[in-house]
Amino acid sequence: MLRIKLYDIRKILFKCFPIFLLFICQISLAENQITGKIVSNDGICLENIHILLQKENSGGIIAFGISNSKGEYTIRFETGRDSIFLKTQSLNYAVQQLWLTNKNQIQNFTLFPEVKELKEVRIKASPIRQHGDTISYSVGAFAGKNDQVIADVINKLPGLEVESDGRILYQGTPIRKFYIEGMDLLEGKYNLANNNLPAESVASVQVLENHEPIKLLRNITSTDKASLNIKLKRNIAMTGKAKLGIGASPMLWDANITPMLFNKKQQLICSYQANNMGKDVAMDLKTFSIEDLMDMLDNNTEKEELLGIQNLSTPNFNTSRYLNNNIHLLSTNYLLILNHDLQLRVNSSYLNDYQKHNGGSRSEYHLGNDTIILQEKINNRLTKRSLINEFTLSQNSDRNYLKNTLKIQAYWDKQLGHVSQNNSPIRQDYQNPFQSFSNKLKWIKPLGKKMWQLASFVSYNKAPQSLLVKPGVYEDIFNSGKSYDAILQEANNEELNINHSISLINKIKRWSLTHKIGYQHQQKDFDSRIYLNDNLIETDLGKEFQNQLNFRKNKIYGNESIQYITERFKLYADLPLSYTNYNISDKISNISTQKNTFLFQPKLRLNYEFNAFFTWKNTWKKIHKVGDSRRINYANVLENYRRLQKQEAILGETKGQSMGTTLHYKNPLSSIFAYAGYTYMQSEKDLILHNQIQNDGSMLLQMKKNDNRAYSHNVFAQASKYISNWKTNFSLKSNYMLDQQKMFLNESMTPIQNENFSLNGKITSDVFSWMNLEYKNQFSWLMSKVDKGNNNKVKQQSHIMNLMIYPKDNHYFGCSSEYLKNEGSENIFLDLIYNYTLKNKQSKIEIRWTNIFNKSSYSNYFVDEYSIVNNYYELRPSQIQLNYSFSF
Amino acid sequence: MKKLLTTLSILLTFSMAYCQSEVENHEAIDMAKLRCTYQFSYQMDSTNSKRLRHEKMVLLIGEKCSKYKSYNSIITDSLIRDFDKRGIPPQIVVSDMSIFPKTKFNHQIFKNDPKGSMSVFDRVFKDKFVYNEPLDLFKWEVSSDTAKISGYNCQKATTSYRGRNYEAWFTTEIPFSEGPYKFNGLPGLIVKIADTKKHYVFELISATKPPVGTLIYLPTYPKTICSSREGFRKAKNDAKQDVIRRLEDMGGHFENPEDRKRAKERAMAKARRTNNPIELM
Repeated sequence: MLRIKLYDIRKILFKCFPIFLLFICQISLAENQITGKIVSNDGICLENIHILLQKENSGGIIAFGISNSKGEYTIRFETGRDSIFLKTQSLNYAVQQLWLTNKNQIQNFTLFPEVKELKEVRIKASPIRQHGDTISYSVGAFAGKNDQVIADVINKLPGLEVESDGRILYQGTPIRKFYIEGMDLLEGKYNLANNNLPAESVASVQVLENHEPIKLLRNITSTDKASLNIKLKRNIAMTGKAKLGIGASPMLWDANITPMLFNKKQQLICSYQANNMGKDVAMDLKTFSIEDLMDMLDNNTEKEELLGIQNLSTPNFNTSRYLNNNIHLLSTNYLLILNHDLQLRVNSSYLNDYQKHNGGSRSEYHLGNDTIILQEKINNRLTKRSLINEFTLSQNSDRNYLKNTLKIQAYWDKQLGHVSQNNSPIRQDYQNPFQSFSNKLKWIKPLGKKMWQLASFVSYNKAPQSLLVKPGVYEDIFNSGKSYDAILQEANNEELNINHSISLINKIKRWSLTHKIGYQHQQKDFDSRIYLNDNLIETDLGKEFQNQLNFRKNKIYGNESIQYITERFKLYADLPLSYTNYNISDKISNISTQKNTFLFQPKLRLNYEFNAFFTWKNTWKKIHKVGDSRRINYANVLENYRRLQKQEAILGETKGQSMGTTLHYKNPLSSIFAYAGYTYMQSEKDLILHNQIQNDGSMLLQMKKNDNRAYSHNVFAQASKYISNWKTNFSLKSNYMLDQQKMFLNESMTPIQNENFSLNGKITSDVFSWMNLEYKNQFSWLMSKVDKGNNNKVKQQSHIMNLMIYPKDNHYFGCSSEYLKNEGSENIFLDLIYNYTLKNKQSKIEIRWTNIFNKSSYSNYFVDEYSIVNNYYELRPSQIQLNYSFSF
Repeated sequence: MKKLLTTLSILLTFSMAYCQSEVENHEAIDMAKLRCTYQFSYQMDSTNSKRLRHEKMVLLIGEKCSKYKSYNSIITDSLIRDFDKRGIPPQIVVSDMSIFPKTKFNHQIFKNDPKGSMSVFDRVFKDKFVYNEPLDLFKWEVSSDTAKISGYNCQKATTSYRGRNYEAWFTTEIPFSEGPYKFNGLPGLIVKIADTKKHYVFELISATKPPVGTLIYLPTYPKTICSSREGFRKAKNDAKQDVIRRLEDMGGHFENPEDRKRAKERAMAKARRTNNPIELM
């Protein structure tokens, strides 16, 4: 009653005295409350029942309550109405509804079960998100005045974006393939085209949704990934990029011109790069995919050096600091569509490089009680010329995945070396050409529900090489003690490798089994001869210095890989079994040997994760191998001017085992990461290196049969912590290694012990968004002990600091300094870089001042079992360079 | 560098996906009654409204509780299981990881499990986290506005949560107090919800009954780190700032210091771009 009166009064007041509005509102907004309990017809308290308070029996709700686990609900509401409508709603119970007067009250419900149908809906997504379609964007509609290359346009297309590194995302996920006219010339390196293809030559950009490039997998998997296809406006599009750099002193240049051509049936990208600034552009030719690296282990096609000049050990930092080069590189990538499933790709490159290496070394050899000191000054001139052609034919059909790569390599390399040893100069002329041919085939085929994989590898290579040393060395051996003009070593190696294998993978629950069987054949023919040159007369030194060796290896192998994986426990076991037959013969010395070996080298890996923070990893491996990779030569070969080597056909066997254990700790909550571990290796070889050092410092190496054991221990630990307030990461790493083995030094078995301890620290800081600082250091101690006396110790330390500053957009300033200290030598380097990107982002200017302190040479120490070697290497002088790059 | 990152992320995804395929590490907690799919659009960079991204999210509603997860991670799980069954060599799978759809959201939210709370499962790199929040996070204001959205009669309600104000449209025709992400507590399913700046938008695109017997699984990986919301946010933030070094921790290696520098710049630029999380505080 009271409420109704108040309501009437309010009406009057509202019309007459707006001043009282506030007061009145307070009264009218007084809440009412309905509480109650909901039970089912059999007396159970019902939870999650919605109680809706509505104005009408249909239409919007004013307030609501949801029953708790005791079935109780509370609804607080405000309304000016006299009566209200209350309704229960739930999936499993019938609706109850009633009209109530508007007041505080208790309202209990007893509900009766009723199964209700839920109202289903399916709404089609908007067309742009629809799957299974090809969406075509017309470039003309999107391109603006400032858009020069296709990347600029792609960035504007709805759903597509280009990240700062050039990666293209569609709906936030990276695209899978970047096709130009449906062709995949560049594979992952689409940046090259994306940043250089002019927008005006592109007709449209197509997004292929649900695109599975390996057709074989198309029926098996469904994919959500999109690929991009660029449709060209004209039949031919030609474009490119160029970079020019100059510097001083001496006169420096750096050039890079990369023209491209795209056409509907074929594509071409060429590149010419040349510089004398110490950039080893030949590195760009290397591929580093995991698949390729795995293949290289078994099926190597790398160039082989049979002989050599006395090399300088190169410093362990960026080549641009020390490499004195003059390189020209021309590479061509060409793709041709043969038919729908078949593609041919040709990648070829021609390299011409001339390098000067200047430096020297001072070596101390400790031989029991004797010490021999050797000083050398080395000037080497390397000429590298090579042509590498790769032809890839790939078939990508519904029933097959096939890839065949044919590679033909030819090297015409030459090396000229000058060594001044205690003021007596020695000249070495090394001709080291190499030719190789290889074919690699990979074929995946489904058979029933399983996938079979067939791999085949065939390679043939030839290395007809020669080394001329002036004046003659090893006078005692070659010329009965008399000095002479020159000695010429000729060597030729021909090698044939065949490797075929077939594998099948089987999965049963948590077990995964890989069965593999294969056959390997290796055939090496090594010929060598030595000629003596004196007073312009060349004499063949005869059969005593001649090899004509035939090496045959036939291997049948099988491997069973077992994986057992649970959430906490991971077991990997490899059980490789092989049977090998060796047949070695030399026609000159009329020796032939045979050897059959049966090898079983099980390998076990076991990981256990205690919880989210601790993981324990263990490995164990049985070592049983035959050292068949060493060259065999019954007669002496002059490998370099101071190494005359004879190796008999002893296929040394190594037996032993290695094991390791590591405990990892990571706590992402406090950002602490750490690990510590220990590895141990013990091996027993039946061969020992017979190492004889002559009075003139030259060496005679022979392998002798003698059982010997070697041990190696390694303890390591690392910890890092990130401090979020400072945006800084601290990390510390240490390593201790102990090696023990025996060597044959000057006719006696000598125990040798090497110890190595190192400590690394690192701080990376990003306190400010415009500045970035990195500091690294390393301290290391090397100790070697020969025959329980004679300690050699070497201490090294290095400090590296990099500072990067971004004062404004498009500007970048970098400063990097390096301090290296070895026993008795100090090296300090400082470089400055300034980089400016022009507004249209098509061109960039860079100024680089390297080696500001004009450090002329770098030196380091090297300690091994029986010697200390101090090497020095001439560096590039302080230089300034200016680079300008642009697209055309 | 890119190769390294891709490879690492591939290996990671694979190992993670692999783990997820193991149903043994899941516990069935409820029977699903309704499967709702939301079209989810979000803006990672508050300064760039062009960088809108889309993903589909799935809400599986059961009798007692619900599960919310991204559609792409569900697909990845089923693909992995499919590969497993067919015995397709991992070399093939790994050589072409792009067949797995990627998701930006690895979180899974179980509402009303444990009772009265929600458990949020998420990841930082490989590490799995879980934290609980109370279920009654939202104070809803029901407004009188009604509309027909996605075929349902909806009514508007508003709330605010962690620095954003939301407008939700719910329907009493589906009598579940459910919604996408953490949202719940209305007397009916949320059909559409968006913050007032339209940076985060969820729209129901389908609600269907799953096949009879569809279970809702809760992950029970033993290596999950139990934490709080604050603990998880700190771990995630640390990892975001420290990404390059963590990749190196996991075995990544940069051949060239310049590459590392570039990778770091890129990671920092990316961190700057992703400045607009759904929970601002």
